[in-house]
Amino acid sequence: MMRFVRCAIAVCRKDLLTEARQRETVSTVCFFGLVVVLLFGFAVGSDTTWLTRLAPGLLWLTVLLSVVVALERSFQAEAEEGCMDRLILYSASHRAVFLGKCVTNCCVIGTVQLIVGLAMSILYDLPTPQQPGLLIAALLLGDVGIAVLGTFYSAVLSKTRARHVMLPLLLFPMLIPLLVCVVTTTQAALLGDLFGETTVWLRLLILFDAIFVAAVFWTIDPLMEA
Amino acid sequence: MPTVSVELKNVRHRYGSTWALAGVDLCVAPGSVVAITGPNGCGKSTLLKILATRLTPTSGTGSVCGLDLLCETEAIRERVQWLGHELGLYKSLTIEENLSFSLSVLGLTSPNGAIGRALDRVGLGRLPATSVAACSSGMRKRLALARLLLHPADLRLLDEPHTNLDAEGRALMNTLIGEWKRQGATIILASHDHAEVMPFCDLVVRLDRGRME
Amino acid sequence: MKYGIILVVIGFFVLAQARGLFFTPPDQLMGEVQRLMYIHVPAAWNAFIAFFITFVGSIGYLWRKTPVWDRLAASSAEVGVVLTAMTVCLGAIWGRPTWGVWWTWDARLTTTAILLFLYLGFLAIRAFIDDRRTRARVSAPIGILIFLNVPIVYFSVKWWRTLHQVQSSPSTMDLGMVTSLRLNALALLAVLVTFLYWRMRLERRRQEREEQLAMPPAIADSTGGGR
Repeated sequence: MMRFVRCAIAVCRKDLLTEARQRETVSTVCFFGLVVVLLFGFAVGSDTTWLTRLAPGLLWLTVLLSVVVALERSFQAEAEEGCMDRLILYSASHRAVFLGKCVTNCCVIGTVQLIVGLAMSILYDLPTPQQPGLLIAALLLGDVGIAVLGTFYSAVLSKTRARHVMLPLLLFPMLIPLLVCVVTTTQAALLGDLFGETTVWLRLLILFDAIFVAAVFWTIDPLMEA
Repeated sequence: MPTVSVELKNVRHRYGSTWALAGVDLCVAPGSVVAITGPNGCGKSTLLKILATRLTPTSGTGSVCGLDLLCETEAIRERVQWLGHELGLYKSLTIEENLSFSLSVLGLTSPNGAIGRALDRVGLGRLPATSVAACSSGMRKRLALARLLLHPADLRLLDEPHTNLDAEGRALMNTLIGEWKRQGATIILASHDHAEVMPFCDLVVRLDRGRME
Repeated sequence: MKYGIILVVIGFFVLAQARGLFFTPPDQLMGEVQRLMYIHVPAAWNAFIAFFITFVGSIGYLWRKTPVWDRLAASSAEVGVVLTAMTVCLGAIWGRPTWGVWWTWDARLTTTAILLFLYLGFLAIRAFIDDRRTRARVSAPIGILIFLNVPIVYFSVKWWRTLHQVQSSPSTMDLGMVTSLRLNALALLAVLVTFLYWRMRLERRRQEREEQLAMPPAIADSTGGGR
């Protein structure tokens, strides 16, 4: 157990340290997110009532589109110098390695989301959230879901000779239920719960996360060995 | 202690439609140094990867340290150290961080000063905070050697251990091999340079197009 | 003998279709268009069965690690994708005269379309991996994850927007229609099983042939040397 935790922390720390030193991925991803936020403004028009209504959907779509690059990197970077072979042979557990990567990706997604969200609230003149607690819950649960499935598909793609475009093709259809849940919950948190159905969505979101965390951790061993 | 350290029976490995190994039988006694030589593409690296359990052979059976090659991979990995052709170092980390990372990934804590001693041994003692990105390929090889010194192993698999090293580095490599042998470890190394490895090997095996000669 | 079974299956399918098309009364409201149901609904049901088989095959591979489970999962996914594509297209064709639009964001239709994309992704990933063992190890987890997503997708889309008509249950239908529907479902199930069997057989043959062609040089030489 101790070994497992130590291994997960080591992988996470290494990835975050790399990210902090190179700053390539996160800065590119954030910049991309900001540009998309700006572009949506032009595409929808400067009417802030429209933008406010669309904001929850736009926020999650922007986050999804921008973090794809970061997710792709997370296992591809290991594969480059034969590091993956060593991780597979000499790590306390494959699950620990995966967990470490997952946590890193979760941090990256959270950071991107924070920046994109702040930019949106300024540019689109968003109101103060009605239920800040619910908003934070929605953001966290959504990030966990994206991180788990995103890291999983990143691991899948590192085993193939597939091109970069494959990740969104595989990941986005899987995330449709998550997208529906988080957008409705974010909307309720931001603009007020009009129909009183947020609990249903929050429950479904938790269920989604729970099922996929369990399934991914159950099946990751043979995948990493492949 | 098992009577044989490594035993392979009719091991074959195929990448797509090309056979990298076409029926290899190998028997290595504990504590011996074995060199596998042969031209490029003869299957040396594949053989080592199979012994390190990174690859599952297409067919054939074998055992490493008395453990079954196909079923008991977890236990084998704890006893075997493999130094691949690609060194598996992280460019964004410093020399010292690379070593402590590979220890923590195994779930071990580094005993006080072990990393420093290993670095001193390979001649990198004064540069622990250098980023690997700034290291020459020779220094990287030495760092990979230091990583091998961090924990004991019953079997060490070295893929082209002498490449990229200067004369002093080669001598160090040979000394280390001698030391590991005295500690009772088995060493299997792959090399394309027959003459270089001849002096200190108990057995030289020649591979050609995936077969032993 | 094997071709005999195929003839029987085709015959069964044609008869079931004929019954649906010519010997069952048309729907009171929808008229003749409703007859699409005899292929649309059975295709949807059988697609789900096919994807369930993929799920079982994936679990079986993780459990047993034998290639036959991988072949089962892959073949079943292929058949399932064909059936799903059929369901979605027919659904759109049905929707045009009935609802006046090609597409509605109704739960079942949308779920089926999402499934189509998910399983196309599954097959695409497989196409990108050459080594058989790697392919099996990578695709088994995906097969499990995708199937787990099916109910979640369904419920999320359903709550998100419910527009569809009430599910056609046997009580609202003429007895002849029910019989035709069930008969067609069975016929398509027979087609599914036949496809599955042939697809797996083909894959096994292909694998055997691949192994034969890529005989290790040692064996090739030893037979050559004996001459």
